[in-house]
Amino acid sequence: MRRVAVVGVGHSKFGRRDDVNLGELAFESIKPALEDAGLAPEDIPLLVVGNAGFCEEMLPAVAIADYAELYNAELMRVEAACATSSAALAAAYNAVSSGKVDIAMVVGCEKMTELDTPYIVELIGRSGFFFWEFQHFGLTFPGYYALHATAYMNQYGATEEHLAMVAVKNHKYAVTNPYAQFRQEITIEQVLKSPYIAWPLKLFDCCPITDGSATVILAAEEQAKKLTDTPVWVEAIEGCAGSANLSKRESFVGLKAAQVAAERAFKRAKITPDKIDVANVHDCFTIAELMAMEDIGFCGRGEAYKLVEEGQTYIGGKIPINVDGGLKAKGHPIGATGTSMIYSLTKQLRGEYIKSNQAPIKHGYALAHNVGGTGHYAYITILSRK
Amino acid sequence: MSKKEEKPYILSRPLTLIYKLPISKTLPFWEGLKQGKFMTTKCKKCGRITFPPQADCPSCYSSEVEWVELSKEAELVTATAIMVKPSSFAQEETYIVAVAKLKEGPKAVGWLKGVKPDPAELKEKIKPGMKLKVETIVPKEGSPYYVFVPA
Repeated sequence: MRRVAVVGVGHSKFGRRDDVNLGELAFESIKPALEDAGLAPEDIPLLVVGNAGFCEEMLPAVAIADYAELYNAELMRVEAACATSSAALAAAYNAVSSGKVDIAMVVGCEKMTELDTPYIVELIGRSGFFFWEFQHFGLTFPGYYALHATAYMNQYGATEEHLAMVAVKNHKYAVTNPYAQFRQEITIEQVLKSPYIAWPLKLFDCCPITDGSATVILAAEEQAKKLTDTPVWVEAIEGCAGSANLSKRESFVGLKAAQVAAERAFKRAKITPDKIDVANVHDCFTIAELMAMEDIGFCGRGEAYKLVEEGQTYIGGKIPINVDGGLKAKGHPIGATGTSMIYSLTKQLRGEYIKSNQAPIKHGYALAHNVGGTGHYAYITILSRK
Repeated sequence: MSKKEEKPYILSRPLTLIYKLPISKTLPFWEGLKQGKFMTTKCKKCGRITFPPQADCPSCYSSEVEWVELSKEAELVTATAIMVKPSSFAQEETYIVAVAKLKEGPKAVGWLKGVKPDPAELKEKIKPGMKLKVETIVPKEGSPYYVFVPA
């Protein structure tokens, strides 16, 4: 296997983007990523599109490749629910690492707001285990995570206030992120007073419905060193499947798929969780950030909410988490979230992130935790600047 | 969070999708519900009881499974109440979805009836280990299903 580096990243504005279609939105991150890498469209021999499928384009990869005329590339589309573009990144990484291609582009792009909210709630709810959970019982995605929140709070004594603290932090960091959907600070009181969506989760525990795109360009070691003085190395990208049917799940206080993916990633990268300087974790709901911290191994079981209470997940704390606003406030365009995490972490490791959101880089490692479904898929990516 | 003005758009051609979901291999489950029975599959080779039922054993991959009737006794594992509903459930009152552990071992997902989906009541009553029983429901329209109720 060859070493692989991130050599270019690009990001669109996230939010309700009813001013652009799928191709136009993808272009907003493709162009800056190519400029960042110093490459032209014809230099891309492999294009992997991450799109979970919420807009009218049945063949989203084709629509995107066509708009940017990336006709020289082998083209494929990958789906792994909310971990879609991490899976797309894994596919591209495998192709570069194996020597099949020297360069690959991963475009994560999702257009969600073309449908009205009740239909999006319907489609995302159907993305769990449709036949045995949605058809008769109408589970929603907030509902899937709420089942875990109830179990976690009952087992460890965490409260709705602790969940609110996660939302408050992520909103704080979104204020200075120009790409973020919600650029306003919120208070614990506002979160607690917001209406229930799926008890015990409230409106401000939930990420929004978002349109957005983020692009990552990978290169093999030799090409990466020619293209850039600041390659960010992919030390590991590891995934794992989890039970779709919740009835087959042993526990509801963590996500097994994420635990296994994290163990595999740390083993591959030959480091331990304490070497991570900054992390982006899949905070689609506030409870998900707490479970992620424990699944990754930043702390023991039932300890995440205590770290949050101490402010240890802010910049300056033990482990800064989601200091770009996270899914909660930056927004969660399903198929673009994985590559958006890689965008933020690449900038962090280069030391060129938004000044107020730049975490101190001591060990030179960053981690992205991207979950599809409620741990139906999970991907952990470890990046380094070494 | 101010509402921005909508940008110009063209409406797509409408499309209604209704899928036919095959139940040939789980028919005894659906027929059982109509008779008030809660049925599932048990592997003849390794003895694994699966819920939901499936025609092929996911443990040993044997396709020799038999149908067994479950006791309808269960314990609560976790639950949520769905306040914001999907469009196809828009007509329903707020419903509680629970995960329960069946006496025979496997867990099942289903609605929990008999508890008011009010945050204060939920906080007090939704505790792991709560004793439940399964009730079968045959609606006037649509397919039969099951719910949990406090035992």
